[in-house]
Amino acid sequence: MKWVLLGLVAIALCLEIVGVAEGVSYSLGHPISGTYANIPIQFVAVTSLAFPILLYLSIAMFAGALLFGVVSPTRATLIEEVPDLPVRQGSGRKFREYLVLALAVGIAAFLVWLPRSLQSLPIGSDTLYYMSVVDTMSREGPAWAVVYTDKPLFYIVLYGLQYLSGLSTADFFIVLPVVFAVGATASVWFFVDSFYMETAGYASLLTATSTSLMRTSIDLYASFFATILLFLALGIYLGYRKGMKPRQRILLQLTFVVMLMSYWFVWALLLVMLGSAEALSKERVRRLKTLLAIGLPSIGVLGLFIAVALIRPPPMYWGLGSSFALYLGNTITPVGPVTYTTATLDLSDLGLLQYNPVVPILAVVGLFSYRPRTFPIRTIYIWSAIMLTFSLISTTGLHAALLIPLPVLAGFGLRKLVGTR
Amino acid sequence: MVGIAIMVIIVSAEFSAEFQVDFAVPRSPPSQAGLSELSWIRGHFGYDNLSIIIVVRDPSAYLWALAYNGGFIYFGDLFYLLTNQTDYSFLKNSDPQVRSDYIGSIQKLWTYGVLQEIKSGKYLILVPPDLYAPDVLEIQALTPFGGGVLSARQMTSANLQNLFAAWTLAKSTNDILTAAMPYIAIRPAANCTEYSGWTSTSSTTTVAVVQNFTRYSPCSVHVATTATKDSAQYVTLNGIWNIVNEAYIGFYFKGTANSTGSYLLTVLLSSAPGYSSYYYYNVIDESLWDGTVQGVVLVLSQFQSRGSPDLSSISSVRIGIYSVEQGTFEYNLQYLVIAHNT
Repeated sequence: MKWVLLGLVAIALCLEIVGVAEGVSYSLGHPISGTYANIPIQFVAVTSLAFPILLYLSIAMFAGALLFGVVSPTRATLIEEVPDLPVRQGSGRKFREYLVLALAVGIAAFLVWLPRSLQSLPIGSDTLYYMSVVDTMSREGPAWAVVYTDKPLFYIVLYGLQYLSGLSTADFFIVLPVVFAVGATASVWFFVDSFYMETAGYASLLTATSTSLMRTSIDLYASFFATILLFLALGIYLGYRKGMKPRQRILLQLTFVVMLMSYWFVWALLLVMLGSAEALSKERVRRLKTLLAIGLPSIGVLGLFIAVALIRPPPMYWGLGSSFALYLGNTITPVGPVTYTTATLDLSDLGLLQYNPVVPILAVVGLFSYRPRTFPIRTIYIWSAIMLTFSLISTTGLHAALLIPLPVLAGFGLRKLVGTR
Repeated sequence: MVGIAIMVIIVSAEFSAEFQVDFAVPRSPPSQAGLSELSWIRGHFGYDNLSIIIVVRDPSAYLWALAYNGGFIYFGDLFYLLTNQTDYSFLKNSDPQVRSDYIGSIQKLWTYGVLQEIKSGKYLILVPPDLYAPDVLEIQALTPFGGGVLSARQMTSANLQNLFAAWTLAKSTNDILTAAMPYIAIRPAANCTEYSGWTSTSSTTTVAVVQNFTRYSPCSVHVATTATKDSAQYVTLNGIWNIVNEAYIGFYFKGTANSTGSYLLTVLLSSAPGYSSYYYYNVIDESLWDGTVQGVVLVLSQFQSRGSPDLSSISSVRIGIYSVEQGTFEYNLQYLVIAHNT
């Protein structure tokens, strides 16, 4: 049965690849002719009609798979059976994994660079805003970001990178998405490699080709940057959770602070999901204490920003400490607080799923295949559930939809489908 | 198995490449003239000059102005800025992008204490006309500055309040022609005897001179059009007009539309036979067709041109409807006038 299914999948994939290739050839003025040449193109046309429906199906399947993973009878899963450490030590295998990582990074860089090489104007509405921020900091200095933005450190990093690169602001924002795409792909690899090395390559390849990497708006750069930090922090935490040394703890503490001061939405997500996952672990008290010790400096920094916001309310200070209501759709204006957007149930923000149905389908397979028995998978389940919920709320929709770890789960799914064990 | 994995990655990459090519595009940029105005301001004042305020009222123009010029970009209607009043139509706009941009722009002005000092003369308020498209009443508060850019002129508080009152009245009554009358010198483009010269350019459009619907002239022209998909249907009035010293063209309009697609009213001014050279303006606001009487004033400098038209020898005026889908349109047009600032 499995082989019949795989055979059908292979045929569908072949038709899709050939159909798209024929389409590209046609658009370049070289139409392919022949008795059966039309079949792949027709297949592509028919399947693309189904994509919008697939979106709702994907959401339902994704939610169903999450629920199934939690309530279904548990059994030993592949992850628990894999003797990860010995595999990690095999240098030949490691070389192959690095090769896959290099390929994934190359694909990510190419796909993100591709449209930027075709356009003369900056891509995406967020780019225009970020350009204005960096140029404003050139005039007003880095402190401007601390006083007037909710992502001070991130903007300072951008400003510093632009300064060091010597590029014009417009050119810098052509290069930056490529750098972030490479960083996101590599960080996913690092994260998955920390607990399931054999899947890291698949996850990084699917990250490189997922539409979440191709974003052009919605906190484009800050979200990108924070997502990289999120994967790195999770990778370090999972990799050294059982025997964390002071050096690693300090590194994590620093990462948490940077994340808070770059995109606090992701910082909050990280704390909540790790806290929830640890609360479900066997040594919950000890683990939660460790997590608290890691998170404490960033919580302290947050308290400091809030104190400043209370002492110097807008418009004197408009930084991190006074911007939390933004995600709830509230802000302050000269005529008092206003609600600029109200929270409603909204599926449209998950629309990204329909542009590359491969990733959500594989993610569902990944969820069905791996139950939340181990700490890493439990963390990913909690992460997915939180972000799926937030992605259905209009005010947080796209921020959250881009943070669902679909490529990671898709990597599990692909590993499960093609795995020999 | 490895083959399937490779194919999955290829298909996934194909989808993403397609997504990139289709969606990773620049935010719809303003016209070249609009970008030139922003570039001129940047060249003249530098980036992030905190002594100027640039006024725009289109979400796309707002972002481009931020990127090109930085500093203070006011997103909204000019008079609300000049009088330091909150524009609740923007603050509570149904479009979240409009709300968000308006709030963002006034927050920055508030932060830097600009709003409190807006009337002090400390700030130069610049209006790039191609991005902002000021109407006839807003033009009364503006003066040419340079590089095609307009600036707010110094006015007494009373004059400014009167203009603002006229402007808000025009907005609430949809009649900017009547509201602008104290500020412009008007002369009819044609009298009622000449209205019989209106002709249709197609068999699907009928035109007739009928009774007036405002007190400004004793007659109007009635036009009924059955538009086919993606077509333009015109009525034409020939004559001789020298409007080189004029700034506006206006009329009263009362129309209804029945079409599932978008549509617009278009006005053409030709100076050559067969419309080989002409000026044109598209009124895209579909609220024009709500069946009520609306006073319209079009700014001649905002007309676009085809060929090399000459304002000193306009020989034909065309009013037309462009419809994306099939539809029926009926309207009355009265008191076609040309005008200039007093």
